[in-house]
Amino acid sequence: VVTDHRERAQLLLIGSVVVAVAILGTVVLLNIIHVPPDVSAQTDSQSITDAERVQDSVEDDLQQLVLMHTSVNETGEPLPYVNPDTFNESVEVYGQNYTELSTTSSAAVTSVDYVNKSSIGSVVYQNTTDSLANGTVLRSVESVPRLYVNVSEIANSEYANISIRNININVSSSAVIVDGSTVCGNSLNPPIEIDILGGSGTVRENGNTCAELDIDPAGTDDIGINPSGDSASGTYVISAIGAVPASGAENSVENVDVNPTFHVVYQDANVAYETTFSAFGGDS
Amino acid sequence: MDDRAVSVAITHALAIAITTVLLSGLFVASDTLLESQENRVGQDQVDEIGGDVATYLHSFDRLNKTGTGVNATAEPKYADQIVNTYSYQIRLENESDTARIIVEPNRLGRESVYELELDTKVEPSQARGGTIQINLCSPPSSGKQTYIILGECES
Repeated sequence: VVTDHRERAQLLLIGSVVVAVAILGTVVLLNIIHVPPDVSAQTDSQSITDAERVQDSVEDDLQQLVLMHTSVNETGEPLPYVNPDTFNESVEVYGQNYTELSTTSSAAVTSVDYVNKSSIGSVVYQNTTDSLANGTVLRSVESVPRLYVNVSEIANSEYANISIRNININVSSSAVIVDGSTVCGNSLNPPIEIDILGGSGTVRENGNTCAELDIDPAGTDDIGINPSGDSASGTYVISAIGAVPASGAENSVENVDVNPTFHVVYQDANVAYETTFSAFGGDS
Repeated sequence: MDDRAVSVAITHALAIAITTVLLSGLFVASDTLLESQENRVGQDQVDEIGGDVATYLHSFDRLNKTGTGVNATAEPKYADQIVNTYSYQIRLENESDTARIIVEPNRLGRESVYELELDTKVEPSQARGGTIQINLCSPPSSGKQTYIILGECES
Protein backbone atom coordinates (compact mmCIF):
# COMPACT_ATOMS: atom_id res chain seq x y z
CA VAL A 1 0.00 0.00 0.00
CA VAL A 2 2.85 2.30 0.85
CA THR A 3 4.43 1.59 -2.57
CA ASP A 4 1.17 2.41 -4.39
CA HIS A 5 0.87 5.72 -2.58
CA ARG A 6 4.47 6.62 -3.35
CA GLU A 7 4.01 5.85 -7.09
CA ARG A 8 0.83 7.92 -7.23
CA ALA A 9 2.51 10.81 -5.47
CA GLN A 10 5.43 10.68 -7.91
CA LEU A 11 3.03 10.62 -10.84
CA LEU A 12 1.10 13.59 -9.48
CA LEU A 13 4.35 15.47 -8.86
CA ILE A 14 5.64 14.79 -12.38
CA GLY A 15 2.25 15.72 -13.87
CA SER A 16 2.18 18.98 -11.92
CA VAL A 17 5.71 19.84 -12.99
CA VAL A 18 4.83 19.15 -16.66
CA VAL A 19 1.71 21.37 -16.47
CA ALA A 20 3.62 24.13 -14.68
CA VAL A 21 6.47 24.03 -17.22
CA ALA A 22 3.97 24.11 -20.08
CA ILE A 23 2.13 27.14 -18.70
CA LEU A 24 5.31 29.00 -17.80
CA GLY A 25 6.74 28.16 -21.23
CA THR A 26 3.67 29.61 -22.90
CA VAL A 27 3.96 32.80 -20.87
CA VAL A 28 7.66 33.16 -21.70
CA LEU A 29 6.95 32.45 -25.38
CA LEU A 30 4.21 35.10 -25.45
CA ASN A 31 6.53 37.62 -23.92
CA ILE A 32 9.28 36.87 -26.43
CA ILE A 33 6.94 37.12 -29.40
CA HIS A 34 5.14 40.23 -28.15
CA VAL A 35 5.95 43.31 -30.26
CA PRO A 36 4.68 46.75 -29.32
CA PRO A 37 2.57 48.39 -32.03
CA ASP A 38 4.41 51.71 -31.73
CA VAL A 39 7.17 52.51 -34.16
CA SER A 40 9.90 54.89 -33.09
CA ALA A 41 9.17 57.94 -35.19
CA GLN A 42 8.60 60.48 -32.44
CA THR A 43 12.01 62.15 -32.54
CA ASP A 44 11.97 62.70 -36.29
CA SER A 45 8.48 64.18 -36.25
CA GLN A 46 9.64 66.58 -33.57
CA SER A 47 12.55 67.62 -35.80
CA ILE A 48 10.34 68.60 -38.72
CA THR A 49 8.04 70.49 -36.35
CA ASP A 50 11.08 72.35 -35.00
CA ALA A 51 12.13 73.23 -38.55
CA GLU A 52 8.71 74.79 -39.20
CA ARG A 53 8.82 76.67 -35.91
CA VAL A 54 12.30 78.03 -36.63
CA GLN A 55 11.24 79.14 -40.12
CA ASP A 56 8.20 81.03 -38.74
CA SER A 57 10.25 82.62 -36.01
CA VAL A 58 13.12 83.69 -38.32
CA GLU A 59 10.72 85.08 -40.92
CA ASP A 60 8.89 87.20 -38.32
CA ASP A 61 12.19 88.44 -36.87
CA LEU A 62 13.60 89.41 -40.26
CA GLN A 63 10.45 91.25 -41.27
CA GLN A 64 10.69 93.26 -38.06
CA LEU A 65 14.37 93.87 -38.77
CA VAL A 66 13.52 95.20 -42.24
CA LEU A 67 10.84 97.51 -40.90
CA MET A 68 12.84 98.86 -38.00
CA HIS A 69 16.46 98.90 -39.10
CA THR A 70 17.17 101.32 -41.93
CA SER A 71 13.77 101.82 -43.47
CA VAL A 72 12.57 104.71 -41.35
CA ASN A 73 11.62 108.08 -42.76
CA GLU A 74 12.17 111.52 -41.23
CA THR A 75 9.06 111.24 -39.06
CA GLY A 76 10.04 107.86 -37.69
CA GLU A 77 7.66 105.80 -39.80
CA PRO A 78 8.95 102.63 -41.42
CA LEU A 79 9.45 102.59 -45.18
CA PRO A 80 9.66 99.41 -47.24
CA TYR A 81 13.35 99.37 -48.08
CA VAL A 82 16.78 98.72 -46.58
CA ASN A 83 20.24 100.01 -47.29
CA PRO A 84 22.09 96.86 -48.49
CA ASP A 85 25.49 97.81 -47.02
CA THR A 86 24.40 98.41 -43.44
CA PHE A 87 21.58 95.88 -43.43
CA ASN A 88 23.95 93.04 -44.28
CA GLU A 89 25.79 93.59 -41.00
CA SER A 90 22.54 93.57 -39.04
CA VAL A 91 21.48 90.26 -40.56
CA GLU A 92 24.88 88.75 -39.76
CA VAL A 93 24.59 89.81 -36.13
CA TYR A 94 21.02 88.52 -35.97
CA GLY A 95 22.07 85.18 -37.53
CA GLN A 96 24.89 84.72 -35.02
CA ASN A 97 22.68 85.59 -32.06
CA TYR A 98 19.92 83.26 -33.25
CA THR A 99 22.34 80.38 -33.71
CA GLU A 100 23.87 80.92 -30.27
CA LEU A 101 20.46 81.03 -28.65
CA SER A 102 19.04 78.03 -30.50
CA THR A 103 22.05 75.78 -29.92
CA THR A 104 21.74 76.21 -26.16
CA SER A 105 18.33 74.53 -26.16
CA SER A 106 18.61 72.06 -29.05
CA ALA A 107 21.10 70.23 -31.22
CA ALA A 108 20.11 72.12 -34.34
CA VAL A 109 22.00 74.70 -36.36
CA THR A 110 20.27 77.58 -38.12
CA SER A 111 22.06 79.84 -40.55
CA VAL A 112 20.54 83.08 -41.86
CA ASP A 113 22.03 84.98 -44.79
CA TYR A 114 20.99 88.15 -46.54
CA VAL A 115 21.00 87.74 -50.32
CA ASN A 116 22.67 91.06 -50.95
CA LYS A 117 21.46 93.47 -53.64
CA SER A 118 18.97 91.00 -55.06
CA SER A 119 16.18 93.53 -55.59
CA ILE A 120 17.51 97.05 -55.99
CA GLY A 121 14.98 99.74 -56.80
CA SER A 122 13.36 102.92 -55.54
CA VAL A 123 10.77 104.05 -53.04
CA VAL A 124 8.47 107.04 -53.45
CA TYR A 125 6.28 108.27 -50.64
CA GLN A 126 4.12 111.00 -49.19
CA ASN A 127 3.73 110.42 -45.49
CA THR A 128 1.59 113.42 -44.53
CA THR A 129 -1.95 113.85 -45.81
CA ASP A 130 -1.82 116.33 -48.65
CA SER A 131 -2.85 116.69 -52.28
CA LEU A 132 -1.97 113.48 -54.06
CA ALA A 133 0.90 113.38 -56.53
CA ASN A 134 0.22 114.53 -60.05
CA GLY A 135 1.66 112.38 -62.77
CA THR A 136 4.07 109.51 -62.99
CA VAL A 137 5.80 108.71 -59.70
CA LEU A 138 7.96 105.74 -60.79
CA ARG A 139 9.37 104.75 -64.16
CA SER A 140 10.68 101.42 -65.51
CA VAL A 141 8.98 99.37 -62.82
CA GLU A 142 9.83 95.66 -62.98
CA SER A 143 7.82 94.50 -59.99
CA VAL A 144 6.01 96.05 -57.03
CA PRO A 145 6.88 94.52 -53.65
CA ARG A 146 4.93 97.13 -51.70
CA LEU A 147 2.32 99.72 -52.64
CA TYR A 148 -0.01 101.56 -50.32
CA VAL A 149 -2.18 104.47 -51.47
CA ASN A 150 -4.66 106.02 -49.07
CA VAL A 151 -7.19 108.42 -50.60
CA SER A 152 -8.59 110.03 -47.49
CA GLU A 153 -10.67 112.75 -49.15
CA ILE A 154 -12.03 113.50 -52.61
CA ALA A 155 -14.51 116.19 -53.69
CA ASN A 156 -17.68 115.52 -55.63
CA SER A 157 -17.24 115.26 -59.40
CA GLU A 158 -13.49 114.81 -59.04
CA TYR A 159 -11.49 111.64 -59.36
CA ALA A 160 -7.98 110.24 -59.12
CA ASN A 161 -6.59 107.79 -61.64
CA ILE A 162 -4.01 105.42 -60.24
CA SER A 163 -2.24 103.29 -62.81
CA ILE A 164 -0.16 100.40 -61.51
CA ARG A 165 1.41 98.66 -64.46
CA ASN A 166 -1.40 96.61 -66.01
CA ILE A 167 -4.11 97.85 -63.63
CA ASN A 168 -5.99 101.15 -63.76
CA ILE A 169 -7.87 102.23 -60.66
CA ASN A 170 -10.24 105.18 -60.80
CA VAL A 171 -11.27 106.59 -57.41
CA SER A 172 -14.09 109.15 -57.37
CA SER A 173 -16.49 110.34 -54.70
CA SER A 174 -19.10 107.83 -55.88
CA ALA A 175 -17.23 104.70 -56.93
CA VAL A 176 -13.97 102.84 -57.32
CA ILE A 177 -13.55 101.44 -60.81
CA VAL A 178 -10.85 98.86 -61.50
CA ASP A 179 -10.12 98.32 -65.20
CA GLY A 180 -13.59 99.56 -66.18
CA SER A 181 -15.54 97.56 -63.59
CA THR A 182 -17.13 99.23 -60.58
CA VAL A 183 -15.93 97.42 -57.46
CA CYS A 184 -17.00 99.70 -54.59
CA GLY A 185 -20.60 100.93 -54.13
CA ASN A 186 -22.41 104.11 -55.19
CA SER A 187 -21.79 106.19 -52.11
CA LEU A 188 -18.20 105.93 -51.01
CA ASN A 189 -17.09 106.28 -47.45
CA PRO A 190 -13.36 107.19 -47.38
CA PRO A 191 -10.66 106.27 -46.79
CA ILE A 192 -10.11 104.31 -49.99
CA GLU A 193 -7.00 102.16 -49.60
CA ILE A 194 -5.07 100.34 -52.29
CA ASP A 195 -2.83 97.86 -50.52
CA ILE A 196 -0.43 95.63 -52.47
CA LEU A 197 2.16 93.25 -51.04
CA GLY A 198 4.39 91.07 -53.19
CA GLY A 199 2.49 91.72 -56.42
CA SER A 200 -1.06 91.13 -55.23
CA GLY A 201 -3.41 92.97 -52.91
CA THR A 202 -6.78 94.59 -52.36
CA VAL A 203 -8.84 97.75 -52.72
CA ARG A 204 -10.61 98.69 -49.47
CA GLU A 205 -13.33 101.18 -48.70
CA ASN A 206 -13.38 102.22 -45.06
CA GLY A 207 -11.73 98.94 -44.12
CA ASN A 208 -13.97 96.71 -46.26
CA THR A 209 -12.39 94.85 -49.17
CA CYS A 210 -13.93 95.74 -52.56
CA ALA A 211 -11.60 94.07 -55.02
CA GLU A 212 -8.58 91.81 -55.32
CA LEU A 213 -5.64 93.02 -57.41
CA ASP A 214 -2.96 91.02 -59.15
CA ILE A 215 -0.07 92.89 -60.72
CA ASP A 216 1.28 91.47 -63.96
CA PRO A 217 4.81 90.22 -63.15
CA ALA A 218 6.15 90.45 -66.72
CA GLY A 219 7.63 93.46 -68.50
CA THR A 220 8.36 96.96 -67.28
CA ASP A 221 6.00 99.91 -66.92
CA ASP A 222 5.30 103.12 -65.00
CA ILE A 223 3.23 103.87 -61.92
CA GLY A 224 1.23 107.08 -61.91
CA ILE A 225 -1.23 108.94 -59.69
CA ASN A 226 -3.30 111.44 -61.67
CA PRO A 227 -5.97 113.43 -59.83
CA SER A 228 -8.46 115.43 -61.91
CA GLY A 229 -8.28 118.40 -59.54
CA ASP A 230 -6.72 119.55 -56.28
CA SER A 231 -9.17 118.08 -53.84
CA ALA A 232 -7.97 114.46 -53.86
CA SER A 233 -5.75 114.13 -50.83
CA GLY A 234 -4.09 111.30 -48.97
CA THR A 235 -0.81 109.48 -48.49
CA TYR A 236 1.13 106.85 -50.40
CA VAL A 237 4.25 104.71 -50.29
CA ILE A 238 5.34 102.69 -53.28
CA SER A 239 8.44 100.55 -53.70
CA ALA A 240 9.44 99.06 -57.04
CA ILE A 241 12.32 96.93 -58.26
CA GLY A 242 14.45 98.30 -61.07
CA ALA A 243 12.50 101.58 -61.00
CA VAL A 244 13.61 105.18 -60.89
CA PRO A 245 11.59 107.98 -59.26
CA ALA A 246 9.74 110.38 -61.58
CA SER A 247 8.94 114.05 -61.17
CA GLY A 248 5.43 113.40 -59.80
CA ALA A 249 6.79 111.88 -56.58
CA GLU A 250 6.80 113.94 -53.40
CA ASN A 251 9.73 112.12 -51.71
CA SER A 252 11.95 109.40 -53.02
CA VAL A 253 14.84 107.08 -52.18
CA GLU A 254 16.93 105.47 -54.92
CA ASN A 255 19.27 102.49 -55.21
CA VAL A 256 18.03 100.66 -52.16
CA ASP A 257 16.90 97.09 -51.62
CA VAL A 258 13.11 97.25 -51.78
CA ASN A 259 12.47 93.54 -51.18
CA PRO A 260 15.29 92.06 -49.10
CA THR A 261 15.77 88.36 -49.72
CA PHE A 262 17.04 85.86 -47.16
CA HIS A 263 18.45 82.38 -47.31
CA VAL A 264 17.72 80.24 -44.25
CA VAL A 265 19.25 76.82 -43.57
CA TYR A 266 18.16 74.60 -40.68
CA GLN A 267 19.85 71.33 -39.86
CA ASP A 268 19.66 68.80 -37.06
CA ALA A 269 20.38 65.09 -36.78
CA ASN A 270 17.24 64.06 -38.65
CA VAL A 271 16.09 66.94 -40.80
CA ALA A 272 17.79 69.35 -43.20
CA TYR A 273 15.85 72.27 -44.64
CA GLU A 274 16.66 75.38 -46.65
CA THR A 275 14.54 78.13 -48.12
CA THR A 276 14.84 81.52 -49.77
CA PHE A 277 12.19 84.12 -49.11
CA SER A 278 11.65 87.85 -49.53
CA ALA A 279 10.47 90.25 -46.87
CA PHE A 280 7.49 91.46 -48.92
CA GLY A 281 6.79 88.15 -50.62
CA GLY A 282 6.67 87.44 -54.33
CA ASP A 283 9.67 86.73 -56.52
CA SER A 284 12.46 89.11 -55.80
CA MET B 1 -6.91 -6.69 -4.99
CA ASP B 2 -6.26 -7.57 -8.69
CA ASP B 3 -9.17 -5.36 -9.78
CA ARG B 4 -7.76 -2.46 -7.70
CA ALA B 5 -4.34 -2.74 -9.37
CA VAL B 6 -5.97 -2.44 -12.79
CA SER B 7 -8.00 0.51 -11.56
CA VAL B 8 -4.81 2.38 -10.56
CA ALA B 9 -3.34 1.90 -14.03
CA ILE B 10 -6.53 3.14 -15.66
CA THR B 11 -6.54 6.17 -13.37
CA HIS B 12 -2.97 7.02 -14.39
CA ALA B 13 -3.74 6.57 -18.04
CA LEU B 14 -6.79 8.78 -17.80
CA ALA B 15 -4.81 11.46 -15.92
CA ILE B 16 -2.12 11.46 -18.61
CA ALA B 17 -4.71 11.53 -21.39
CA ILE B 18 -6.60 14.44 -19.83
CA THR B 19 -3.38 16.36 -19.23
CA THR B 20 -2.33 15.80 -22.85
CA VAL B 21 -5.69 16.99 -24.18
CA LEU B 22 -5.60 20.08 -21.97
CA LEU B 23 -2.03 20.93 -22.98
CA SER B 24 -2.86 20.44 -26.67
CA GLY B 25 -5.83 22.76 -26.27
CA LEU B 26 -3.61 25.31 -24.59
CA PHE B 27 -1.07 25.22 -27.40
CA VAL B 28 -3.69 25.40 -30.15
CA ALA B 29 -5.43 28.32 -28.42
CA SER B 30 -2.09 30.08 -27.89
CA ASP B 31 -1.23 29.65 -31.55
CA THR B 32 -4.55 31.19 -32.65
CA LEU B 33 -4.21 33.99 -30.12
CA LEU B 34 -0.65 34.71 -31.22
CA GLU B 35 -1.62 34.78 -34.87
CA SER B 36 -4.49 37.21 -34.32
CA GLN B 37 -2.32 39.35 -32.05
CA GLU B 38 0.43 39.38 -34.67
CA ASN B 39 -2.02 40.52 -37.35
CA ARG B 40 -3.46 43.23 -35.14
CA VAL B 41 -0.08 44.53 -33.99
CA GLY B 42 1.27 44.31 -37.53
CA GLN B 43 -1.65 46.32 -38.86
CA ASP B 44 -1.16 48.92 -36.12
CA GLN B 45 2.49 49.28 -37.08
CA VAL B 46 1.66 49.59 -40.77
CA ASP B 47 -0.98 52.25 -39.99
CA GLU B 48 1.41 54.15 -37.76
CA ILE B 49 4.18 54.17 -40.36
CA GLY B 50 1.73 55.38 -43.02
CA GLY B 51 0.44 58.10 -40.69
CA ASP B 52 3.95 59.24 -39.88
CA VAL B 53 4.92 59.47 -43.56
CA ALA B 54 1.71 61.47 -44.11
CA THR B 55 2.84 63.88 -41.37
CA TYR B 56 6.11 64.44 -43.21
CA LEU B 57 4.36 65.06 -46.50
CA HIS B 58 2.05 67.62 -44.89
CA SER B 59 5.01 69.33 -43.22
CA PHE B 60 6.96 69.46 -46.48
CA ASP B 61 3.89 70.84 -48.25
CA ARG B 62 3.71 73.65 -45.69
CA LEU B 63 7.47 74.26 -45.82
CA ASN B 64 7.28 74.56 -49.61
CA LYS B 65 5.11 77.65 -49.17
CA THR B 66 7.74 79.43 -47.06
CA GLY B 67 9.74 80.72 -50.02
CA THR B 68 11.41 79.82 -53.26
CA GLY B 69 14.06 77.16 -53.81
CA VAL B 70 12.92 75.24 -50.75
CA ASN B 71 14.76 71.98 -50.12
CA ALA B 72 14.21 69.66 -47.18
CA THR B 73 15.37 66.20 -46.24
CA ALA B 74 14.17 63.91 -43.48
CA GLU B 75 15.33 60.40 -42.65
CA PRO B 76 12.78 58.75 -40.39
CA LYS B 77 13.88 55.45 -38.92
CA TYR B 78 11.15 52.85 -38.95
CA ALA B 79 11.30 49.16 -38.06
CA ASP B 80 13.12 47.09 -40.69
CA GLN B 81 10.32 44.54 -40.57
CA ILE B 82 6.75 44.59 -39.39
CA VAL B 83 6.47 42.60 -36.10
CA ASN B 84 10.10 41.64 -36.67
CA THR B 85 8.99 39.22 -39.35
CA TYR B 86 7.49 40.77 -42.47
CA SER B 87 9.35 43.08 -44.83
CA TYR B 88 7.35 45.95 -46.32
CA GLN B 89 7.43 48.72 -48.87
CA ILE B 90 6.32 52.35 -48.75
CA ARG B 91 5.04 53.81 -52.02
CA LEU B 92 4.09 57.31 -53.07
CA GLU B 93 1.59 57.69 -55.89
CA ASN B 94 0.01 60.69 -57.53
CA GLU B 95 -3.51 60.43 -58.85
CA SER B 96 -5.28 63.53 -60.19
CA ASP B 97 -4.03 66.01 -57.57
CA THR B 98 -4.35 63.45 -54.77
CA ALA B 99 -1.20 62.03 -53.25
CA ARG B 100 -1.41 58.47 -51.96
CA ILE B 101 0.85 56.81 -49.43
CA ILE B 102 0.71 53.04 -49.50
CA VAL B 103 2.44 50.92 -46.86
CA GLU B 104 2.44 47.37 -48.14
CA PRO B 105 3.68 44.51 -45.97
CA ASN B 106 4.55 41.22 -47.60
CA ARG B 107 2.37 38.29 -46.50
CA LEU B 108 0.51 40.18 -43.79
CA GLY B 109 -3.10 41.21 -44.12
CA ARG B 110 -4.15 44.37 -45.89
CA GLU B 111 -2.06 47.35 -46.95
CA SER B 112 -2.48 50.77 -45.41
CA VAL B 113 -3.46 53.63 -47.74
CA TYR B 114 -3.49 57.35 -46.93
CA GLU B 115 -4.84 59.92 -49.38
CA LEU B 116 -3.68 63.53 -49.06
CA GLU B 117 -4.63 66.78 -50.77
CA LEU B 118 -1.32 68.58 -51.24
CA ASP B 119 -0.36 71.68 -53.17
CA THR B 120 3.11 70.28 -53.77
CA LYS B 121 3.57 67.73 -56.52
CA VAL B 122 4.33 64.18 -55.38
CA GLU B 123 6.70 62.15 -57.52
CA PRO B 124 5.75 58.45 -57.74
CA SER B 125 8.45 56.58 -55.85
CA GLN B 126 8.98 53.78 -53.37
CA ALA B 127 11.30 52.68 -50.60
CA ARG B 128 11.88 49.49 -48.63
CA GLY B 129 10.98 49.58 -44.97
CA GLY B 130 13.59 50.65 -42.44
CA THR B 131 15.39 53.98 -42.58
CA ILE B 132 13.90 55.87 -45.49
CA GLN B 133 14.66 59.26 -46.99
CA ILE B 134 11.93 61.76 -47.82
CA ASN B 135 12.96 64.77 -49.87
CA LEU B 136 11.39 68.06 -50.87
CA CYS B 137 13.27 68.98 -54.03
CA SER B 138 13.41 72.32 -55.83
CA PRO B 139 14.95 71.82 -59.26
CA PRO B 140 17.66 74.42 -59.87
CA SER B 141 16.35 75.33 -63.32
CA SER B 142 13.41 77.70 -63.21
CA GLY B 143 10.12 76.51 -64.61
CA LYS B 144 10.30 73.08 -62.99
CA GLN B 145 7.96 72.32 -60.14
CA THR B 146 9.06 71.55 -56.60
CA TYR B 147 8.21 67.98 -55.70
CA ILE B 148 8.24 65.47 -52.85
CA ILE B 149 9.91 62.12 -53.41
CA LEU B 150 10.88 59.01 -51.46
CA GLY B 151 14.62 58.71 -51.97
CA GLU B 152 17.11 61.07 -53.60
CA CYS B 153 16.12 64.13 -55.62
CA GLU B 154 16.38 63.64 -59.34
CA SER B 155 19.50 65.29 -60.73
